[in-house]
Amino acid sequence: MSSQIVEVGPAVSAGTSVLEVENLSVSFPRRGGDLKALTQVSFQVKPGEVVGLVGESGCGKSLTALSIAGLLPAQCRVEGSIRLRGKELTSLSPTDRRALGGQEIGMVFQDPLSALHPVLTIGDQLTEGPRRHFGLARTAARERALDMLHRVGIPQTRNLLDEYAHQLSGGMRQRVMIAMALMCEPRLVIADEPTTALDVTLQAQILELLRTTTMDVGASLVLITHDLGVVSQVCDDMVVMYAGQVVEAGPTSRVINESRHHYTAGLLGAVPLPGERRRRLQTIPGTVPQLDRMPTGCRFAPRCGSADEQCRTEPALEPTDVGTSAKCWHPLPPGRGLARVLESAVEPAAPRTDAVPREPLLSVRDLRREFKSGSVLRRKVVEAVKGVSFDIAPGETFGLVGESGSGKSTVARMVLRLIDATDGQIMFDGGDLRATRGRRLRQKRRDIQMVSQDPYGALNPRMTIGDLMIEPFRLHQLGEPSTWKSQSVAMLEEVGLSSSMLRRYPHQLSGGQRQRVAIARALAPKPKLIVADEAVSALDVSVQAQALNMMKDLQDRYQVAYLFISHDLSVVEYMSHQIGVMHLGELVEVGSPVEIYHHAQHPYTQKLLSAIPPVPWLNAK
Amino acid sequence: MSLEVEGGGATSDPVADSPLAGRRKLRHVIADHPSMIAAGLMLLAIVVAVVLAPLIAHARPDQIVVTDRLKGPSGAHLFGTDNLGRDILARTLYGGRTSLEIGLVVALISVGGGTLIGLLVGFYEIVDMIVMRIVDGLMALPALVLAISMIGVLGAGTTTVVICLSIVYIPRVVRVIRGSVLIIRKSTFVDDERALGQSEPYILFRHVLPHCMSPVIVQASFIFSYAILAEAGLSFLGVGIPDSVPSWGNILTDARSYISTAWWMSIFPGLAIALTVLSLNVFGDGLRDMLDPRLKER
Amino acid sequence: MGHYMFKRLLLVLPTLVVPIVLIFTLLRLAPGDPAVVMLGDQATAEQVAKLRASLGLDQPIYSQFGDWVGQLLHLNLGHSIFFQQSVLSTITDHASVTLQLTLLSFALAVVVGVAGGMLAALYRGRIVDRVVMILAIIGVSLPEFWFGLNLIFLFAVTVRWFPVSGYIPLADGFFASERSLVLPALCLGMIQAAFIARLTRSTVLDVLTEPFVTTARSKGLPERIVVLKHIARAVLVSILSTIGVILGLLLSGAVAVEVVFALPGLGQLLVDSVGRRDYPVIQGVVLATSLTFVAINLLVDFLYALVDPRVRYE
Repeated sequence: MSSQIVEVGPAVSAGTSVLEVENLSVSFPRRGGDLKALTQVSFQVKPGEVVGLVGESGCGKSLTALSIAGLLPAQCRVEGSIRLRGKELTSLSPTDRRALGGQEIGMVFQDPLSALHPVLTIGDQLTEGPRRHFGLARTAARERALDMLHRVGIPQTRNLLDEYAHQLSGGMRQRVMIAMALMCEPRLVIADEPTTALDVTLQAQILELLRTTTMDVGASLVLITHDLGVVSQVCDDMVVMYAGQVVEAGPTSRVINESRHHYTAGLLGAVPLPGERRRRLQTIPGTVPQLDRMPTGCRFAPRCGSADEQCRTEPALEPTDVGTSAKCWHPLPPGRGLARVLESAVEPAAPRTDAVPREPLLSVRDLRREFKSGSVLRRKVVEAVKGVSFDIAPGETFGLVGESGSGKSTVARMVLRLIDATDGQIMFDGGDLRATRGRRLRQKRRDIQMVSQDPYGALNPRMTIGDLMIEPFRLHQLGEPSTWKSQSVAMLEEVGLSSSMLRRYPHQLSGGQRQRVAIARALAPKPKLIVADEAVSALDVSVQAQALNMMKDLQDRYQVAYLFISHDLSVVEYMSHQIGVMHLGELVEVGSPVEIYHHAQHPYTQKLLSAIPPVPWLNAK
Repeated sequence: MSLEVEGGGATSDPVADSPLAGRRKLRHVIADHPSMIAAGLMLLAIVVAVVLAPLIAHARPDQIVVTDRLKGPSGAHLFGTDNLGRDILARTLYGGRTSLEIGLVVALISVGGGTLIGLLVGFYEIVDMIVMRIVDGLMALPALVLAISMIGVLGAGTTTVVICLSIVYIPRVVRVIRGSVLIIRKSTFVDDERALGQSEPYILFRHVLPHCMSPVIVQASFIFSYAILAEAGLSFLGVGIPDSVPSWGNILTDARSYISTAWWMSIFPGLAIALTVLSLNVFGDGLRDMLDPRLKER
Repeated sequence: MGHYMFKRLLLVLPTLVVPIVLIFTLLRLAPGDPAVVMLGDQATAEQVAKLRASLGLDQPIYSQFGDWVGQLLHLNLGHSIFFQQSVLSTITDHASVTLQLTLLSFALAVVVGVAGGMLAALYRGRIVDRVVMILAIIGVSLPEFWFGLNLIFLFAVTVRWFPVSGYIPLADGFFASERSLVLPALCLGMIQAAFIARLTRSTVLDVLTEPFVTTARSKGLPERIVVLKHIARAVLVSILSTIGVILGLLLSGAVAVEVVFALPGLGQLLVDSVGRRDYPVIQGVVLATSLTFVAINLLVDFLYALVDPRVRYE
């Protein structure tokens, strides 16, 4: 690896921090009082260190990043201090600050396609930083760019400089983003969810690349993520944020294994771990509070099981017995972190061994689907699903896992009869589903319901929850019209919502609540099968755990079968009795969770498994 | 730049958002859209003035007083008189009746027809293929050129003007409605409804149509204003409303020859058009901001 | 790229067919016998029969249509009844004025409109934004012909800087010719500028929310570069795609403006021909405008593909 351009900057004496954030508060002016989005955030990043900022959405992680980089909108009020290599940033003029930021701080954003300019070439975008800051000539800058692209793993044989972002693959784009952040050899790289928009098998690779290349140019890395696995994989230190505050911080392994804050422990317990199928996920009740309705005192208290009178006043972020710091009046006793979570896990129950193999509820045989594209002259036929076969037993869950573009959603849409299959057979409940049409099909739909990914889009935003809930009852004439309302309320209570929801509109609900309504609506006609396509993917970790637990409970109660689709192998494994792995339109492997996890046959399944951080975070650094 | 205040945007105060808090909401609308309210009041004033024309103007619009030819504005004739001694105020008010009527009718026909076609086109692909080619073809002609040539062949007259302008504007509405239907059709809740077992017409009218109502209302206000402008233009060019009926365009045709001697002949009717269209446009902008949350704050 | 252009070309064909069919049908729908209408009330039966035969009106409708389209393909648009010359040369006689007027106003409209819209968006909520947006909404509310009358009153009657009306041909000197077009172009251009300013402003506000703008800022580039390079590029690409619409509005506006300023252009010709019931000319003008319009849209598509790599590599 060529290193002539790596001139490790003036050595920062050991111990001094690259970045010191102290009592950082950010507020947005608003009619009727400012919205305080960050409150007294403090943390440090030492040279060569990787620090993870963790928390659910709405906790202020990205805002912290933007404040450090000086990219907040002008109307924001910033208080406190941000020091980069000892230099106070908050007192600089906006112009100086941005120029300094561009040289010393590199940014990597979540979605590389929208973060790269659509009509400027990659070369142009890579070189403009060093040309501006170091006065490099065009050719010199381009050489530097080529070298940097090489260092982020793009083969030298491929000259990307004259290409455009949309011509590259997702992984390639993120590599370009990383190269761009490193072009000026910054002292600090801030990566905001850098792998969230990528496919699972790419995530680990890109993450490792980000870490090594950053270290390579001598920069420290601040990694913002909601994914605890990611943190345990690469971060030396972690900072847990909740509702705009730091609630726990310290060396990653200690925070994870010896959590002292109830929120951190709750988050850890909410993530399904491979091989722990029978463990019931821990959940944190409620959701992250909104900025304009912050609880006084400890902000986590309303969701905390151990909250008492004292929690009405705000605790300080104080050192704990294990060298971390936590913002809690009643820190958890030793041994209550991840270790405890794993111990409390129930041993996997023996796989169900029914004497008589039951007749499958849904039987899919050699299902195919082609999509035609292109013009009349250049017709392209894309085979999205190439002969998929599987069975779902009544009351069981079949998990379908695969990356985007693997065809798993197409299978779901064919089973739901939202699109027609090109070929193959779908037998449902003893009838041929593909041959069912018109009124008969609409009646049949009662037995196959769906819960879709997007809890925002899945409910007509102009109807109240009450109207939405009554629809299935009216449509399928379930009971007397006079009972529809009470049935709706019963259904809502079943998913943990109260009748006060009836008059609200979908946008007044949180993501988790909306998903509950979608599940209640799907359950209302008492279907035999629910197709759940990425049903929990858009939810935050703690809310996702609530939804998964609830879906399992409802399955036990109503004996409903699920076709559960997700890109997340751990979630699928947690939910499913049988798992199918899809890759490029084919079902490459089908088996029980144990078989998939421990005896994966297909190379692609093995690749998927290896992308999950190695068995859990016990071996975190 | 835009920066979602994390957690602040998803849900807001349930009381303020609920349609039940009607009175409070109305107050907010007035406070947030002062220009729209002003424009609405101005429109109302114009409509009232035009309807009450006989009470405001002393003369009949077609009353010729040879001795009063080309008189400037005065107490007797607030807006002055024209080359035949007719009262410009009376002509402007009565002319407004014609112009507003035509604008309104054209807006109703094109928005009604365009919405229906747009819904069907956006929902059924086969209809889409055929209708959109026709729409493209119609839109490949500049609006006024298309209208003039149609009128040229069919003969001038109020009905022809209404028909021709509707044909000109329907394709525009179809495009807009089709656009929003295509977006809505992609949203998950339509799939959800279908999976639930709802029939296509039910989904189309109960779920898709209400979502198109904002663009429909906004389009109606804009087409109203385009139609007033177009009618005035056509009449001015002598291919619109017959000379015998006063309309804003016709009054200005007469004024053209006297531009250097009698400025009042063109100023007042022209201002009437501009004010009406301006109010409609401001009102339409306000409606769009209010009804389309995505465009808010823009 | 070649494939893309070919696809556009195929899509354009139906766009041409509709006006052709429409014009043909309209003529058949016209009240009364076209021959009678064209010749007037005094015509004798023989004259009418002769014209009917020469127009092919005695043939069945489909063969009439076929003949007519065949003539079109040979650029034979028929004969003007009024001018006693071919429709084609009548149109070319009038086209240069319209072309000059449209190009001048277009240049004016784009420069003023894009600059105004950019300024308004970048200083959103400030006084510049308010002023530009108020002017713009007034601009889109003014009838072109009335605006023209006022310009004449102000600049030609009151201060006498420009001729009241009329056109000086290019042959009589470039500057004299352009001078006679200043007021009409100002009239047409400023109103279109108002449309463009509104459009530009909302496009810029859209682009400002794009993550790539944040990326550019994060690189430490001065705001000037972020605006002029990153934002402006994206905005211009998306405005280019609406040039077809803008030109349509310009051509519509040109009709009224030509009449107000007594310019012998296509719009004037169209209006006069309606008065003269000169059907072949009406047909010809409509066909010529739609053909030009379609050609311009093709050109825009082509330019679009040149500046937007996303289209080029589709």
